[in-house]
Amino acid sequence: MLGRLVKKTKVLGWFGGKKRSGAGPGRKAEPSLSLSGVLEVDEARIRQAFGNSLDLVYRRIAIGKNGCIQALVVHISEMVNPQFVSNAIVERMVDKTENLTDPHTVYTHIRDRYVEVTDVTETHDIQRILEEITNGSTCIFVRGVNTAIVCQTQGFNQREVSQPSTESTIRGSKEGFVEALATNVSLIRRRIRNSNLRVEHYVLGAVSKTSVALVYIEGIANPGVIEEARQRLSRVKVDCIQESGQLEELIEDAPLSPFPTLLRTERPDRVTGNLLEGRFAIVTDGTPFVLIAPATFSMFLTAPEDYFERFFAGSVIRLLRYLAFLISLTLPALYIAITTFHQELLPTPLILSIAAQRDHIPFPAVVEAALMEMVFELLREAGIRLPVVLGQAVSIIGALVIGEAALRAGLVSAAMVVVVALTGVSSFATPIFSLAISVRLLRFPLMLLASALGLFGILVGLAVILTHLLALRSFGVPYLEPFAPFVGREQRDAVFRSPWWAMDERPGFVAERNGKRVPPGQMPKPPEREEGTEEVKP
Amino acid sequence: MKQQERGRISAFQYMCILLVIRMTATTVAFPFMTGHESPTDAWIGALIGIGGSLVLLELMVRLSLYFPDMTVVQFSQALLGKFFGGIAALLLVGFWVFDAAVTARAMGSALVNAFMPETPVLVFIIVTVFFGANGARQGLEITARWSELATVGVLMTAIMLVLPFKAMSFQNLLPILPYGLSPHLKRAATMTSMFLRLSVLGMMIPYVRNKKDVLRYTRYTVIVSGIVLTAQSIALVAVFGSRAATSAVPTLQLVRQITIGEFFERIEIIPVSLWLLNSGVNIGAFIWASSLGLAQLFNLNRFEPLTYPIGGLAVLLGMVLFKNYVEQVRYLIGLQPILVPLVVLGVYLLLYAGFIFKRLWFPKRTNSGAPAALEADPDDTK
Repeated sequence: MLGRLVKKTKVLGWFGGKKRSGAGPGRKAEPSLSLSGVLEVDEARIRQAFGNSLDLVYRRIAIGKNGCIQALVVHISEMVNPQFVSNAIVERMVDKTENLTDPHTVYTHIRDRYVEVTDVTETHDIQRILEEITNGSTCIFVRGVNTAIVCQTQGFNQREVSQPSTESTIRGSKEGFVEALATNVSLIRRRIRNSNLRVEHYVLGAVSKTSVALVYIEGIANPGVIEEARQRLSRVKVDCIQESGQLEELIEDAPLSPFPTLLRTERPDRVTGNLLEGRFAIVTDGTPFVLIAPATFSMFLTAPEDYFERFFAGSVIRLLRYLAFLISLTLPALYIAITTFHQELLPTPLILSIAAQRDHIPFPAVVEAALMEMVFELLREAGIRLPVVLGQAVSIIGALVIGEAALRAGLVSAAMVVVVALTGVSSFATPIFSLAISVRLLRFPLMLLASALGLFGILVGLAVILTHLLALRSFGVPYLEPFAPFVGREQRDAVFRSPWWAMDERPGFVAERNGKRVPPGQMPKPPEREEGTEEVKP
Repeated sequence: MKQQERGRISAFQYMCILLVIRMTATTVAFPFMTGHESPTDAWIGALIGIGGSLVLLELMVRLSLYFPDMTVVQFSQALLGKFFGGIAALLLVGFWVFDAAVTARAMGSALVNAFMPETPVLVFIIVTVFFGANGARQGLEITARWSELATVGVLMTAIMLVLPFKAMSFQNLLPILPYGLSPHLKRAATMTSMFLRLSVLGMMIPYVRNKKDVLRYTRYTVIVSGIVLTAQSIALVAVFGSRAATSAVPTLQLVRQITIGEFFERIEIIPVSLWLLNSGVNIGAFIWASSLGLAQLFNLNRFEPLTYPIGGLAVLLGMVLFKNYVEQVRYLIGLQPILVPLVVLGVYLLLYAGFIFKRLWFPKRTNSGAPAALEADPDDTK
């Protein structure tokens, strides 16, 4: 029990070094009041500030010789670990101070000897005390002393670390982030046991005061990029941050772009890998989604498994994913263009079969495609929103509506159903969902262009999208980085994943200073043998 | 001096831009083959043209490298004075706009001829130029990255030319030199005029990060594109024999020969798409160069607002330059080999004259040839 608690407090203690809570924006510039030392006055102030909230606990105890000294313990009941507060603080305060009479001696003894908490500070600023209480600390006041002891006793209900639901893999860690920031940081810290791992603390949100941590590895990450991240984080002015997506919109490079320029992930191993490449992560309290930047396009089509399975398989599967990305972006548009303008592109038997199917369809190809895509998107959305127990019903209806019934009713052609299904399946193959969403949006303008100008229209649409992508940057790193600007060395980990012993360098744009990952010559070889013997040389 | 363009590119990207500009001009139409005598020997003319272009481009690059922080527009004014230098620079800028229009028109009419005969050519010109101007507006870096991607297209085209190997018969290349050398000189002039489109390098060199490599990469450009073109002309003759000279778009016909597994039959859509992208990038580079040139000439703060108007001008020119495809081909074969060298080489001849004159006049003043006042440029930040 105690060991767990100590661990927990240690996790929180990591923030101690670089706490920037004072610099947080949105903090009201009230004149800070000091404690009076009179318990009743101070308690009244705190009660006034919290306005008789239900969950505040004000515990008056009498300590010292024969209970001659009044003390007050304040905390929020569901934000602290109650066992811990009673065992390590209240009980010991009463037991150990039995021989003391002077309030100041009692105070210093409690602060320095009796309280069994690792992170103990003191303050006389009421504003700071209020903040600490809302954070889940326990504050101890002693009558006649005008400072208070602040003990870090956070302990609230949180979800167990479980498998990430949005990014599952066959091989690799099964741990996913949870909602609690401290646990998430510990998940990263456990994978990189190095003192150079930096965790900087920010408090964002004028009302919500959400904790946000900037995580990077000193000596690998580019200091300029980290400084830029600090700047952008401290520029954020909102009242509340519920999810990292909110934060993403406030610090990203291209706020109007349909493409995400920060990667969000639920997987600690992905974060670890990217930290080691010189990127940084932003962990937000209250959400399992951690942001990673600078993000490049190829990162969105990378799954952690690529690095864990054999590199041949990893490369081929990654190539498949790029193909799936293209299919999900262009296939409906290609169908429209080919059936409307360029029938000659397909082999004659195939186009005849498609033409025969489309013969009795009342709509032009573009309407047919738009209709089916809309139905598919609807089904997909409904499938997510429905309670799990009803999910099956949707899939049955969906299969019937999209598949058989629409065909039989002569609304769509069978080829169209195949196209829609293939598009849907391909869009699920994108490992990071935020990219899949932007592809979903861009598919429709491409379909319109295809219906107006055929393949030429698709090409121009793609060219405009590509121009936009080429102009995008994420924290100074070009978005299409290993491809354009073309970096030959980094092709080892772009579309193809070369074996680990060949990837001895970090991406140059991100880790400028510390580019070497491992010394070269890591390729394993069997030990040399002497001529004619089977013995292995020592 | 105002800093209108803030992007910096690598020498490799510089080479990619040049390659794309060079290759687009001859991919669809093949002007140094069509309409000439002795088509079977096209590769000889190509080789002569490459030799000449190597020398001319080397001279152009070397002059630019004397003024490492100035574009051709800026140093022409430094060498020839405000007025004459301005006129020389305007000539170059005008040539780039003109050439962007020619490229757009050539691409548009190739698409109309090959795929969509009912669509007016204006649609293709507008869309291609819009795509180019959109890229140019984002600055040189974007154009450079685009051309890196488009270079893949160039290489794929080169590979695709080998695919119809079953139809090739190298007997078609014989006899060699049946008409003597004179038709080849004409052809070499056509080839050289195509290489002189690379005069935009005068605008790009100040923005290349590693100037030491510029000369080397310029030579690579000429040699790589020369090799591809020579291979292309050999492949064309090997497949079509002397019929190659009569076709308007011989390369497209060559690609039409390709079938993959008797299933994918009309795969010319792939190279044509790549060419379309290439010409967009090419037009983008020209529009970028001319709008930046104009902005520097008239000392404007930004060049970006000029890109779309110049694109509009290119569309207009592209529409009115040629009445029909025949006129366009006639321009490419007959007029271009005279007009382009006249403009580009004329301007550079003037520049060199000014350069030598300045060197003789102020031999001790600087060791780089630039007037001392220009060397102490406050914006000279690397």
